[in-house]
Amino acid sequence: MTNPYAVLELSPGCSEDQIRKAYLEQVRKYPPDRDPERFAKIRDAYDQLRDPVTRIRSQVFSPSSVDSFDDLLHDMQQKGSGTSAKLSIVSVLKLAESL
Amino acid sequence: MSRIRHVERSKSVDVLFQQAQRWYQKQDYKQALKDARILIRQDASPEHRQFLEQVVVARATELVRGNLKDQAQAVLEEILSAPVTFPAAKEQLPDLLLAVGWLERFPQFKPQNDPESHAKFLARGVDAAIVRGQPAPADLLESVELVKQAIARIEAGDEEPLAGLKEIPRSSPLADWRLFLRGFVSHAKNETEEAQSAWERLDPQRVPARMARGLMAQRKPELLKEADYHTRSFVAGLEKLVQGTSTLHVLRMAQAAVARNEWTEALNLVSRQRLMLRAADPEILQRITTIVLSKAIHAGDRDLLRDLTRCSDPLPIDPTWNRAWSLMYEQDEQLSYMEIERSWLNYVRDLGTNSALTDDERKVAQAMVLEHLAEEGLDCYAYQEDEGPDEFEEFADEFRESQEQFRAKIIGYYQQSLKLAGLKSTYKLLSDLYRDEDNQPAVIRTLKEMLQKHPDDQETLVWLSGQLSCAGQSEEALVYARDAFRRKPLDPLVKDNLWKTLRNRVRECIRAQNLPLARTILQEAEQYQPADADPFAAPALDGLLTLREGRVAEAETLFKQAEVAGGGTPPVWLMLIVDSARLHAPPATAKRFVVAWQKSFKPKFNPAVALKTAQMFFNYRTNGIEIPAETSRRVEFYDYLSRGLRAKFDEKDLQALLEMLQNDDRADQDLKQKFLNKAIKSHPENPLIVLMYVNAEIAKGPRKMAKPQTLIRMVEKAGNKIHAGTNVEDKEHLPALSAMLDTLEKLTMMSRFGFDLNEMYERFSGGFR
Repeated sequence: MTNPYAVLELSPGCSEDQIRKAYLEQVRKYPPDRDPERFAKIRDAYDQLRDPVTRIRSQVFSPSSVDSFDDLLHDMQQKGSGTSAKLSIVSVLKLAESL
Repeated sequence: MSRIRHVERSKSVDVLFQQAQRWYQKQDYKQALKDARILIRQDASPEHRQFLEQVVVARATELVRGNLKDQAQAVLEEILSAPVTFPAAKEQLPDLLLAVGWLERFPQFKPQNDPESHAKFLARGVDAAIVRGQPAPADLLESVELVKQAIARIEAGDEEPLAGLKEIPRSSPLADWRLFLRGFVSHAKNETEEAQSAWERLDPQRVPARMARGLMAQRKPELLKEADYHTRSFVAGLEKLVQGTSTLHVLRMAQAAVARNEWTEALNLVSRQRLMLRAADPEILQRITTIVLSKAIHAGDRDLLRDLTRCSDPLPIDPTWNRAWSLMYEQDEQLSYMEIERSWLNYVRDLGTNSALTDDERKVAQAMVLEHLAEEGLDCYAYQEDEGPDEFEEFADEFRESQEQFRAKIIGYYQQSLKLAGLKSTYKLLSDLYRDEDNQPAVIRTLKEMLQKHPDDQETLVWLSGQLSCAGQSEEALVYARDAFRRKPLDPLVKDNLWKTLRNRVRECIRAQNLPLARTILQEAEQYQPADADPFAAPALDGLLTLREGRVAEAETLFKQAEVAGGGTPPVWLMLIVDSARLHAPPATAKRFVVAWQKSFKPKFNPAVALKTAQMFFNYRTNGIEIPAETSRRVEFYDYLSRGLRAKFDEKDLQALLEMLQNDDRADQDLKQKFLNKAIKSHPENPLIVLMYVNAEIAKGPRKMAKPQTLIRMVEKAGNKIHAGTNVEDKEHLPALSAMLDTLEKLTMMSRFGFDLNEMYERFSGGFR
């Protein structure tokens, strides 16, 4: 099980509106027909967060046993790779001078 | 004279050569070069020429290392005007030419008979030209330019950046760059497979392949395991490029510390890099805090929590760490409810001003904590009820008074919680509390309050109608049952509830002598009768109503119909006996049903009939419906049931029968034990049967119970069977089996340490549970 906030790229304490927007954005990125596994995770995360009572209950009583350093590292790597579209090829070549 | 001069000159040249060689051996190449220049001017012999070449290469290498490329070029110029002949110099020259950016001068030194090394040299030249901006080999200048243009287009975000590279032939040293760039574009679009397929074809020794390995490793850290130092540095550099700093490196180190179970070390690592991590992504620190907090709480590690509070920012939901400490205290069985309660109440106070939540969210959170306090309190209350003094023991009055105060406090927490947010869960928990106390008016009141707040809650509509029915308020019950059905007409449970409520309303109308209304409602009830309802139920009730209407013959026909529908079995007559009393049927009719009931036991024993009858006894008991002359009816039934001890039962039927007997406090204890013995003998691994059997054994006390070791083996066997199987229902019994095993092991230990179990059992008359 993955941290629902991490799946939707949200911070705990975000508003219902932000949750909905983040959900729609993720669904656009990973539509069910293209990535059903990822979509299932997104849907699951959304279901966990959409109901304010469930969301607050998990914030108050569950000390996030669903998260781990492995997940965190994985998510950060994903975020890192997600931004590699912006990774400057010129900067990469500059780094390669040492190779 | 001239001969003498010649001898002297030769002598000085030799001395100079020896002196230059000494400089060379001492690695003073600058001085050696000076002497070698004089030497070659004085005597340009092949030997001196080779020495000059050797010294030039050494000095140029030294200058290149010092990044003095211009001076290195000047030095190299001294030997490039003529063919280089010294083998070691010839070998090192290509690298030097590359290093000083003199690729165009390479052809004059290319090894004629070694095309492979020539190709390698060209490839290195091309890589240096693209990566370091050094001059490209003359014949590849154009292709290098194409690659550079493609790079510029990628940088500018051009949609077709690689279009110009089609002209580069596969055999060209630039082909690797074309592949690399194609892979890079795919990599940037997260098309990992495409990138990998392009990069797999690269020459692994060349710069493009090494860059590709680094880029892949950025996403798949496992690839870094075998990477060399340069690739690792390259990846670290990439991470900095992407995230501004090497966040992943810190996280990896923390992850490794956690893998070694060194959580404090992980925390310290993160703490030292807190500012950097926060700058990279503010969410990281929060997630790390929750991960470490979770570990500390689950492990009951107060030191770790203390370290966490010292070196981490609190979570927005818990700015003063009161929540964290409350959760920690709950793990500690030594702490009293009062201590945990104090901590949670501090958190409730914190929540009142929590800026991370909206006004409504704050109230919901506070309500949840109060509900939680009530639940925890209820557990404590129940435990104290079990452990406290009995009615006539010392301090019984004081204990009762303090328990009453405790109960009032628990109810107070529920009510405060309801006032704040009116959560469904709180209403349900409070109703459960009242139901367990058999406080029906309070249950009904709470459920009605809940429906005011949550009018759509289907479960409550059904539950409330059932409660009202039991309380003899079937008219009002019908309103809720109809409402539930209107909302969910296809839900079989809702339909069943409406049918039952209508039938109860019929009974009430009959009792109130409102027979026309009873008839109308009975007709309405028929349309909701569930498919699995007892087939005799409808004609039986109809018959009693018809009898009250004075149509005796028709009533008799209906009773006959009920008898046929129910196969003349005891359940038909039991229902008629009970309903004839509830509906004030003539005594003669009721008596006739009793006789029929007694006769119905004569045929051969039927397990299904026995189970159904046991169920009816259980249901009447649960719903508080009186059975006329119940003791006699039970004796008659148990007499019949005892015949079943020799009969063959289906496992599920036997299990269900035992459950009925177990839960029915008026059931015959002796017969129940006999059925337990029968069940455990024929199904020794059925978890529910094992649970019931061992529970009954423990309840007997140590004088009469079976040996704990035997019972332990029995429980272990059942547990192993559940673990080996896939039955989900069976798996639900695992916690109960585990708790039972715990009790049995404690008993064994106590006995081993010399405690007299019999004496202890008598002291704690409630048994060991």
